[in-house]
Amino acid sequence: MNGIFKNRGFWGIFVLIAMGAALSGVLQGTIFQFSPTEHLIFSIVFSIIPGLLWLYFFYLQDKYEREPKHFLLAIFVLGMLLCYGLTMPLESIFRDTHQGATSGPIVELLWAVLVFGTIQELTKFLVIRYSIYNSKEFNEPADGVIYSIAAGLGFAATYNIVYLNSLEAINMGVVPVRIIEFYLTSAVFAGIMGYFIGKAKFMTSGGEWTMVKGFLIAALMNGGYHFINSEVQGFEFNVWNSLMVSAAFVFVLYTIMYYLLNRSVESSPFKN
Amino acid sequence: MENSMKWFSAVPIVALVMLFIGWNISGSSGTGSRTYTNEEIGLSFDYPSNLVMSPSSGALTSFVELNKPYQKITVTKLRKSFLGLSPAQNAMNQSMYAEYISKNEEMREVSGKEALMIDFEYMSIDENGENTTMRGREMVINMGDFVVVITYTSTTDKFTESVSAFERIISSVVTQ
Repeated sequence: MNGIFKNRGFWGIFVLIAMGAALSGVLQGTIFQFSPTEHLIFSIVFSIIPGLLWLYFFYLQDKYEREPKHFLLAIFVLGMLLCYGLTMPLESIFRDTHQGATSGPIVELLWAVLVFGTIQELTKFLVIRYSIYNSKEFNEPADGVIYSIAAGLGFAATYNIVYLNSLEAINMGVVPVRIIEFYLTSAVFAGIMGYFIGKAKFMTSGGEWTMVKGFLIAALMNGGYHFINSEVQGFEFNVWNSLMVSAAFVFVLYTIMYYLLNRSVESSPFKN
Repeated sequence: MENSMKWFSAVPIVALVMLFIGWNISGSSGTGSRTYTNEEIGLSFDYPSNLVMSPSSGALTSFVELNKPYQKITVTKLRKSFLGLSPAQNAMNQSMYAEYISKNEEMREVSGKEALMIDFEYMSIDENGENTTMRGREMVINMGDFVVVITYTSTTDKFTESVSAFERIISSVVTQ
């Protein structure tokens, strides 16, 4: 248990969440209204740059054989593209077909896991499984984690662009929290699934089941997180509620991911 | 030694099964809706949970769907004018929207309150900086000392896409 407290990434996330909370507090109530073009540029810049910074942060956590930056960037971009080309149309089909009726919390939770968690984690899985997974660069179990995190961050960047661009005005108090919350959770869900993908690649048998297990865990956590977050939020978005829920999730999930990543890294052929 | 499966993966199959179950669960019970309640104006209504609230200048709140930013629903509280619902609201809209035209008006009852429905068109500027015709439908609900206006606006070609969702919102309105 002491290991996590010696991990720089853990304290890095702690500091970044604290900074984001402080920034949100300072900027609370600052609302920007842009022309449509300025709004779009703002949305793109304030989505892609944080995504790349987070990617660099996780890249620095790789102790033994750091992955080529251009490969990580390519996976980040693939995550962005597939989010726009697959996740959003699929989610839209489900929402358009089934909107309007009322339902209880159990149905809401099932819906969050079986529809949104499944679609979002499937997208990240497809990015990894049908690109870098078959490459020679994917040469140790820990690669599954770092590449999946890259896919998760690209995914979050596209989602954030569309979200910010859909707002009539941008409340600057919400942006830092959103950048912390959405990117970190998306990255960590993907990272945990990536551990299983990496492990599966180097198994002689039972690899498919291991990948399915990783996918199910990620979809369950993703859906569960969004369900709890929306229940805590109530009907109006509250920056602090959102930050508290996501910070709690991130610390628990990051600790799990840290142990999984350590197990992968310790079995790395590049350790020595 | 590596996993020998190069292209086959069981995960997409599992995901399809999960989506199929999700589709059927939501098909029988429906996706979530949330309740917007504003005690200050004494009004609440249900809205689909795929809509998110966003800040809006001059309005109590507004709702958008993430991937349909050209469609918007806003809720506004206005002082009641001695002019009457239709002249006052049309005058207000003329000051808010460029080239505003009222296309159709009819009186309705919303949660036991007198209400005026207006279908209208106006001009706006799209993301390419070009003029585009927008359509709107709004419900002006007479709350006694003030009126509450629930407005749905969209680009003309996408207007019918969510007008039924707007009508469901209106039918769920409860006033105190």
